[in-house]
Amino acid sequence: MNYFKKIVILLLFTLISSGVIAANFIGIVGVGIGDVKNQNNQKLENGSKIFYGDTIIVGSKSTAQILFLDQTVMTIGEESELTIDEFVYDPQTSDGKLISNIKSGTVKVITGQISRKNPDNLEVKIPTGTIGARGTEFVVIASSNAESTVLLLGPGPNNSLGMMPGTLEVSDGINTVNIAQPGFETVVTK
Amino acid sequence: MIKKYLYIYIASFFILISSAFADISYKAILDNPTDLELNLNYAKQQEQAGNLKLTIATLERLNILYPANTDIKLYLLSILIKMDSKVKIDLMIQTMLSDPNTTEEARTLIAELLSNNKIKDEQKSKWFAYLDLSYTQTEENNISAITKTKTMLQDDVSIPFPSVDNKLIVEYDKTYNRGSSLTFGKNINSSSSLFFNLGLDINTQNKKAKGESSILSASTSYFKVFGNHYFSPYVYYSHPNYRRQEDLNTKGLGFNNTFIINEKSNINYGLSYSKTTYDRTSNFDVANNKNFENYSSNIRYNYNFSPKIQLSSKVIFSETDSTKNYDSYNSEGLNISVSQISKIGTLKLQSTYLENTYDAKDTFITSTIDRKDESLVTVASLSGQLNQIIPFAKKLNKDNDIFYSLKFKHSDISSNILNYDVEREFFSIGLTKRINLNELF
Repeated sequence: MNYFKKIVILLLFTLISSGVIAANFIGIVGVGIGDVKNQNNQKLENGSKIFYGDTIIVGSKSTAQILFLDQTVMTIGEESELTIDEFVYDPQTSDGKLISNIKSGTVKVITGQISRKNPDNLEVKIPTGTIGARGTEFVVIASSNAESTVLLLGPGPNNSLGMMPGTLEVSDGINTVNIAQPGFETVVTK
Repeated sequence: MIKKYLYIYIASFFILISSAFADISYKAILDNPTDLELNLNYAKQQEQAGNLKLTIATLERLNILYPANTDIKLYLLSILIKMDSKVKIDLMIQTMLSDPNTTEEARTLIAELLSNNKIKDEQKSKWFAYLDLSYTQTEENNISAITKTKTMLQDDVSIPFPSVDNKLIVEYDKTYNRGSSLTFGKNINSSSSLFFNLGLDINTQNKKAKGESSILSASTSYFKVFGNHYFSPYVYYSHPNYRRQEDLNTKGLGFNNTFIINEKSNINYGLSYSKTTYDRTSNFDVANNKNFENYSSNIRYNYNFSPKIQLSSKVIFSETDSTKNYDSYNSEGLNISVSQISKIGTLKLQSTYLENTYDAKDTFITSTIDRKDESLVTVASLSGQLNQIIPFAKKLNKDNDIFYSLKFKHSDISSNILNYDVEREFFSIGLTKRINLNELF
């Protein structure tokens, strides 16, 4: 009987712990070239899992691409740091929320299912403000704590695929700028 | 009849939707993000499904992993061009051209890709202009609108419809349309443009003597983006000059606005007004009795199942006030359409149901029946670049400026007055050559 209890407890513990881990697994490193590590100084390689609350630090002459479960893709350039502050995603309904914090460097974002379902639920924080994105691809260059450049990449209005052009809403906390024309950028300063 | 078309519609819709399903799952990519063959197939599959953002993300990853692979770069460049991502295109080209590993063959392919995109780049200059020259042949099974019962009412008496003489009364006939349309305009800034259009269409018929025409038209429209609103007011004029029939002039104005709800859906609505006057001549001394004014409104909801498949529904209301009350009527109706972008062009299926209720009886026809018509018009069309449907036409159509269109239309009008109870079928095939005139500016 004691053995049975122990086995049941062990099984429950295994199931619960694996469930917690699965819940925290929010994406993978699609590609990691050079010096790519997390907040615990653990090296991140191709296929490494990304968990809720992780910070991804990309060193000099290095690059990484993060694939999130909701198909959001972030490509991180050299000497960049990115934290995932919040990630909740239900693949059945595509409901969720993604808040990431670009602390420094260059990060390109391709929006995924969370943004497609509700654009307000994707938020990208930058040192000088926040970005809301609607069905698009954009790049952030956080050159310092006092200045960030946000550039809308596409799709453009003349795309041959009938796609709706994307839009960005960039705010410094007081003023808000909308970018609807690919190739246009805004510089956000403190 | 309506049920038959509804079934065809629903069947077509599900065929289109099922074609968008993918074989390689996103989970398989998360498990194997660096597998070249798997990821390349996934990129192609997502391209076919219209998920270009995933295609780009996958190709960019492969490009980082396999930097010496020029094929991946060229594939990525071709997708960026389709996406109209100019900043990335420029960066990609600079990188490729400065890379000593880029072969001469790859450089030639880059030049070809850019040449295909040349028109789009030129459109971004401040002034733009192009001339469309078109030829369309339409075959119709009932050009004289012979009634279904081959009878008609006159003074409340049913009489036979005039017999076919292949001159005034014709069943099967061909119509030849030669059209030219000059469009020019100016991009005022990144969010607004002004367009002008002048057109001349000449329509001739194979057998039927009446109804041939030349039509002059002109229009001006303005396009402005306000946040998520794409607003476009317009004015237009057209003057059809008919052989052996009254000539007429139509002046109109209106506006359309598209509100983007999100990436998948938008609402489009519009209001318009037009006034048509007929030219009174010695041959047609009561032509002005046909003059009418039209007030029209519509609201359309578009839903994009994917960037390649769109479902659309439109509610239509219009009122036509004619000099003669028996020609005045109110229209209410619904339009449903589904379109899919495919390798051979854009396939579109649409049905429009309209109910017309007339204001007064036409006593020349009947003194007892208030006219009421129901119409169901179903259209299936395929259009695109000529190269898409005839691959060897690429040699003739190097600039991708020759377009084709194929259209089948079925019109079924059910009226409580025999004279208007008519069924017609049309099949048309057309070619359009676009001549870019941007160099004039």
